[in-house]
Amino acid sequence: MSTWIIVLIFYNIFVLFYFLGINGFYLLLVIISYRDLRFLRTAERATDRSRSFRSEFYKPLSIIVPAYNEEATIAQTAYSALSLRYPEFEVIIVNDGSSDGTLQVLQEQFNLENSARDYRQEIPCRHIRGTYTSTDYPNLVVVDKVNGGKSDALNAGINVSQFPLFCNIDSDSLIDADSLLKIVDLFAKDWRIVAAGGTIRAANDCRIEDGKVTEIRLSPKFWVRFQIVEYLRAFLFGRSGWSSLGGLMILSGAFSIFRRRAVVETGGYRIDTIGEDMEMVLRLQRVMKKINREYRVVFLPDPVCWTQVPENYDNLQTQRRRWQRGLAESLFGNFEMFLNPQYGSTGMISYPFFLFYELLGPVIEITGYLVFIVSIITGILNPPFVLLFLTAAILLGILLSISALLMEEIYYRQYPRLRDILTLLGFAVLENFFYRQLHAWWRLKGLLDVMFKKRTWGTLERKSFSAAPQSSGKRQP
Amino acid sequence: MDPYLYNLLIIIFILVTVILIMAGAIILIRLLSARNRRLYRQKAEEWEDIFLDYLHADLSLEKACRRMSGEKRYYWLWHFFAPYLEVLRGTDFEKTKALCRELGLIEHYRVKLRRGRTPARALAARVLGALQCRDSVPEMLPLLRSKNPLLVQAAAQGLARSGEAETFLPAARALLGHTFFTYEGVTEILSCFGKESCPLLEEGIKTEAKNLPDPHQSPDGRVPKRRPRRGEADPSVLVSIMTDLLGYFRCPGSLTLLGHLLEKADDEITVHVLKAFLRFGEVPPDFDLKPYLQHRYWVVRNFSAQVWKFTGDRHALPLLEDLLSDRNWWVRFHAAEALRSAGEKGRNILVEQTEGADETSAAISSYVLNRSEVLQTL
Repeated sequence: MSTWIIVLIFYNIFVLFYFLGINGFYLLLVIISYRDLRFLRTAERATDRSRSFRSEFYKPLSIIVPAYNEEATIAQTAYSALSLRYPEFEVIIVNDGSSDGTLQVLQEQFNLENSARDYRQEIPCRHIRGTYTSTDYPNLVVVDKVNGGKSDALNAGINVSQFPLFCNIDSDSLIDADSLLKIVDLFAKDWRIVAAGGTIRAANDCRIEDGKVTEIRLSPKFWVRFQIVEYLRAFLFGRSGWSSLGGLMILSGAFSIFRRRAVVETGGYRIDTIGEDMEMVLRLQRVMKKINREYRVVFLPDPVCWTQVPENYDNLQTQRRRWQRGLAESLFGNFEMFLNPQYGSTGMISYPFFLFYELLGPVIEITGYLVFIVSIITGILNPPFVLLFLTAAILLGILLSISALLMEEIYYRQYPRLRDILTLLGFAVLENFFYRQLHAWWRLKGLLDVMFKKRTWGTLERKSFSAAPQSSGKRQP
Repeated sequence: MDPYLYNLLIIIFILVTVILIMAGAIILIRLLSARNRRLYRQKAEEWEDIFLDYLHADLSLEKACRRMSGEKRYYWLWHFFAPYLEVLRGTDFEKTKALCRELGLIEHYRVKLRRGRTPARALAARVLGALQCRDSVPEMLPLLRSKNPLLVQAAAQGLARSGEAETFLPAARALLGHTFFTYEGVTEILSCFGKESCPLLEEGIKTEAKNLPDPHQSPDGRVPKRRPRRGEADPSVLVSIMTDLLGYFRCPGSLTLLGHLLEKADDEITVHVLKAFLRFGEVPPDFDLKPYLQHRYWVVRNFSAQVWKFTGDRHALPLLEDLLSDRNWWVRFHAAEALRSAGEKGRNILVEQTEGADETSAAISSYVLNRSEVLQTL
């Protein structure tokens, strides 16, 4: 038997075990998160939320919105943030050296004037040209700074913020009115929590009035529907499950809350990475462990943040390649956590899982397809076996997506029409036939970007929440 | 047939069956929930008419109960009454409670509180608390010793809402000792005990103050923090919370007690006492603010600057002027605000500072003066 044949046989066996490992783990996450969501629902019923945040004994909060060339959405995002239901908060919009009219839009909409607000540069950030406050909205602060990327903008926002908790939201995102109350409640109930995140949902084609999602509609766009199923899977059983296991490694950069002091202790967001959200969560855990402080990073599925997801092939590809690069940078930048028992579930379970299944997954998946083809040609595998194996793989994928839809239906039921949920069921099946393969291909390209040190954010089309596509922005890392 | 293929076919068959069952479950859940929502809406409309007639005394308790009875879905009944329990007071509240008792709602949840599973017991504590069911207090108290934070929280909230002030200290100790609640979280729950807890708060402060370490014993006046053991409440935190609540409820006659407390207070308690003065809008007689305006801890200086307006102590104006160049922005801001509110003399100090050499004082003075002009024009 030639060496090549032996290699092919071993690779086939490896792919089989890889497949069993990843799907077995996902099924475990489904079971864990189902239990967790049930507990959260009963806890929510037992929680007297009508009494929460009535007194003066709550934690005030700073909402930081980094904005780069966001003239199309920034006003609505600001109005949405300002209309949130929370007793005491400030909204800090950081104009990261936009070359479009972002600052002008803010000046016109909110009557900005120079602010006397003082701040200490506790974490490094690029030069802040000025801070402005609104005469109409006393809790709105606009920071104008030299372009330095999203992480640098967040660092500037943290420096200017004055409250013990801060929430970062993307400038193309809208938060549900009660979301902040629900998520800050977690911080009030557990002093160990240093970071918490909520679910992200697609706002595309939903009815939006005064910066609020007033009617949830299923977008007719093909790419958006795939992403809706994908987000449900990622949040309802992915993050929920990891959170229950105590191994949460990522909170969405579009909506997460941090204890300010803890983030300052880590030195703020790293500006040399594009996966700043995951990198921060990992580094936060490392620093907390180093200074011997008890900590928890948690995810709560109920607080919802609505965001514009990419609507076309190019934008989606750009985003996914960027995410894969971010994943690689975050994992390699915090490699000391790998199989390190000091970090509990994060070091022993989540990190290896993310490294082998999320980061290297696309390589194994795509080479697996190729090896299957070669194995059939060389007669190592018989075609009926491959066909049945691929059918089982696809069915497992469908099962996982439908589990997420079932959880959505049992606990949240956000899409009001039966037709919507049936459509999503259809897309949960359909995505396994080409979207997943395409996704693996994009992620593989993202890995190649890491190898070839490609560092741009890529061009992303920004769209007003209620209008047609307008401007395009290119964020500098 | 090849056994591998046979096994794969069985796996595929199982997967297809599970997928079909799940898809069917999704559709079924959607249809059932729509039906339940419709049924509840119908019931709620019916109940609303009966309930309002009952409150307006057009319907007796027996008749209202007869027309509403038969509903065994107690969660629906609770769901219906919950918003009313939030807003009704006095006789209307008592009448609602009597109706809930007659409908078996109270008994149902008392049984759940005693024998239910964790989520059911937590919900029961919430329901009985909202109904101010004092006879269920003995059943709620053991939950405070539970290892499950959800039960401790639900019991503490239930006790607080049932208005049984005597249970304040056990609830406070349980929340501090058996849960991971933050200071704010605990205070928020305890604030539900209401003004009736004032005498107990005063008594509690007097008792707990005896357990506080003397800050004068340490050379810099800072009391070293000792993390309490699990199940134990830190007396300093407990005193701080009770001080905060005294201020929050503006408990009459407790200013003198707070004045005495300052003599034994560490930095944290001092902050809470000053916050309480702010809420009261006054300070104890013969209270000397000056040492606090020069305190080493910026939060104390910050609150002292805010408290100044209640003392109106002209001798403290130079100290406020010094605070205009404090390292902390909030201290500077509140010192400037205090000077602005100090009449002509204070305003002159601010104007002088705007032209002075110290940039920090000048900036904050201009800001506060400009701000006051803007506010006046609005």
